[in-house]
Amino acid sequence: MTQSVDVQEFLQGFLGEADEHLGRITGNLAAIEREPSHAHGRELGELLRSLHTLKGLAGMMGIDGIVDLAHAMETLVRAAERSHGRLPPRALDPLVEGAGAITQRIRALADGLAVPPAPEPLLAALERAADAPSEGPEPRRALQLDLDPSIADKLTASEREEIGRALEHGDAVVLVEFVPTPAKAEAGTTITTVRAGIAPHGRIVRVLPRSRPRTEDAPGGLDFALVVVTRLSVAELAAAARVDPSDVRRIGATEPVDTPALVESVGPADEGAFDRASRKGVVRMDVAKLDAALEHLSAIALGRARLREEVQRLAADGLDLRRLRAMLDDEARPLRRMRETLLGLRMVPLREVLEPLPLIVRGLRNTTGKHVRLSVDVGTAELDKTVAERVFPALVHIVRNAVDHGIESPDVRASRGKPPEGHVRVEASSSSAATLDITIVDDGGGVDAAAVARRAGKPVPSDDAGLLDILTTPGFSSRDETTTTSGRGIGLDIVRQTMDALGGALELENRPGQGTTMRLRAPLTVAIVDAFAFEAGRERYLAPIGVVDAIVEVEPSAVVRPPRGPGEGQPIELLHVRGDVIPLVSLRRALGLAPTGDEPKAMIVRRAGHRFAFTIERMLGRHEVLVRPLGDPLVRVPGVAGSADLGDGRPTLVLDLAGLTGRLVERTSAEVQP
Amino acid sequence: MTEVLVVDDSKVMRDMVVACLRARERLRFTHAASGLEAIERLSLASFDLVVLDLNMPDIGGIEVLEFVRAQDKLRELPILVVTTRGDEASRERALGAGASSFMTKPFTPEGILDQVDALLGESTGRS
Repeated sequence: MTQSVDVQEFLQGFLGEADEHLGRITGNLAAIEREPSHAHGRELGELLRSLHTLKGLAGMMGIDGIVDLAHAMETLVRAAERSHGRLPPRALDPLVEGAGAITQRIRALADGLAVPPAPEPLLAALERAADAPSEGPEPRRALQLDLDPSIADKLTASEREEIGRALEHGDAVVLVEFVPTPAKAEAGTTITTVRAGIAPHGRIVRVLPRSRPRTEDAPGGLDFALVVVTRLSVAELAAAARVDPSDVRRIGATEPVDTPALVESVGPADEGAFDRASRKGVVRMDVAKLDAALEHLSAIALGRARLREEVQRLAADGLDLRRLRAMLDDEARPLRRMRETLLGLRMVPLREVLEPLPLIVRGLRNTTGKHVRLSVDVGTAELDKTVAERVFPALVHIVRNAVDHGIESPDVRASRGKPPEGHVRVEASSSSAATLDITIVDDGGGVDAAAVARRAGKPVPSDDAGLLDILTTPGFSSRDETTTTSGRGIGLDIVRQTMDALGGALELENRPGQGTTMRLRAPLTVAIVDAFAFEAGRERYLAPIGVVDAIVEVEPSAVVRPPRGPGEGQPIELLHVRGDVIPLVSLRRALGLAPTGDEPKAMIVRRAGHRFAFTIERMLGRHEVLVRPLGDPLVRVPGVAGSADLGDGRPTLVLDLAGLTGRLVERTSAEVQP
Repeated sequence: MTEVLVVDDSKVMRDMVVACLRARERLRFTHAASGLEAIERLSLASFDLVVLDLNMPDIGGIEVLEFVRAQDKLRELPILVVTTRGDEASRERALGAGASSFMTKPFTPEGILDQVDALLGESTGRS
């Protein structure tokens, strides 16, 4: 592997830019996938540029695997762009696979692992698709624009197509003329700021530089003509671009009546395009730096707490410290706001996270032979980046399940009176100020509870929660061999563990014959958690207060020891609490450690209708802590959600009591089986 | 000081070019993240050398070349064009449009230094 520059010096920058380009590649592929019958001149152009740039950068970094993939994909897209701006139908699949292969290699690079060479079969597939015959000639729009021929003549067919489509959606065509001058540059107005100002409010179809005579105020001898489609008025656009309204004018456009519209109107303008444009002004950052900032804030908060105590002590001595107290109070609000802002910075839009989903489903179409349409309707919902990273593989698994097991084959669907194409819908809504519900609804056949119970050797569950319990038992699988799709990746048991560890929930709504709904409830942020600190086995632990139902004293008289049978493992005692009987276990034992001494208190934890009491030595108070997850999200340490710093520099384990409860419930119900 | 305008929409790429040319202390670098910005800067200030990537959105390197060479003041400006492997056709067009010299990515620090020395040597009459 040859490289031209010191890879380490540019690694972070490369990863950031590669990420952006991959986002653009995926986004454009998804846009093409959504409307396959349109021409996609702009999307293909953007694909081309991103692939080309990625190839150049990867070449400088010496990453041949990515260079080869990008080159093969670029060749294919270039061939399509030349032939009428349409991608032949067979080309989309290898491109999607190629994007996935590049993504994997970027991740490997980021994790410090070796980057594998490009897979030969995929390169061959890309090559084959590039040779495939393209579609017939696209009907050209004979759009007449009231523009100077020097501009109108330079517009390409695909740009005219773009303008035509925008006009259909009710946008207007506008010409902006910008003359750069030293004075404007000094005041901060350049061609770059003008474009950035227009981008969120319209689509810049073309920018043309033009020579003009040099004058005293405009010695550059240059102006730029921007052809823009927008819904804004001339005055509004001029204000957004920070140019004079006299430099902006609306262009008349007519289309001869007998030109057939290319495709039926698809409704409101493609806001996806505007969103991408307004991404300028976004800063890439390392989440670790954000977390460091939050920790510094925690240290400041701890310092303030100590200040308050000191003030309290001095006040007790009779000093008048009202002004000092007022100063402390004044500080509290900006610190709180700062924390909210920093936490807000960790949020990512769910829609962006889910962008690759339709492409994944498309890939499944080929392996399962099922016709499935995926729609994603999550609005502007955002969630914490760490949560998003953990939730995404879970969502992918559920979607795969829906396609693989849920949606029936076209024949079966026909016999059931359903449309041949199955429908999987991903939606999001906030279920509370602190949580987000993500639902995956399919119109398949639902889950056959009796068959599932038979497979698991358990009694038929009485409700959906019970059915979900069986489905999420580790090692459970609906088929004799894991299928090629759902067998890969994580299992439903891990999905549940993931949601538990996040302090969220997983629910199932089964409609036999009609379909299934899976609901993932995710906290909007996991970064900062309100937690109980406590001691067990003379070690300190933390646990989120959300799962703790109550904290009780363990009266020896309230404990019942059921008779031990032969071969039973750890003793599960029972605790009487307010008329209820709850299984009682030492927290240390539950963590697989030996208890050391008295454990007179118990924390009662509730999870999905089950309650467990964990005995501990003593409570140490309540803290808001920043939870750092333990390394690789796919590596599960049972019962541990992460670690936190309580201000003394010693990392304290944050426990996942809900998850622990889940495991104990399985173990006890297993023991109860005859 | 020798004023160099580095034009590429990738910041990482621009930083790599500057890093490769670090050895020449006399060079002062201005960045342009688009062909449009490059044209704007060239119209308002004077430069001794341009390093220009061909593959950019909105207005590619070829269009920048054509526009720049059409200006009297900029006809002799040394322009080093950067292309990527597999883009031979663009290389031809670039030379035809008035590029002074071209380079293929990936390039080495030595490679680009040689090109830059040659271009700057020529323009100041040194050999």
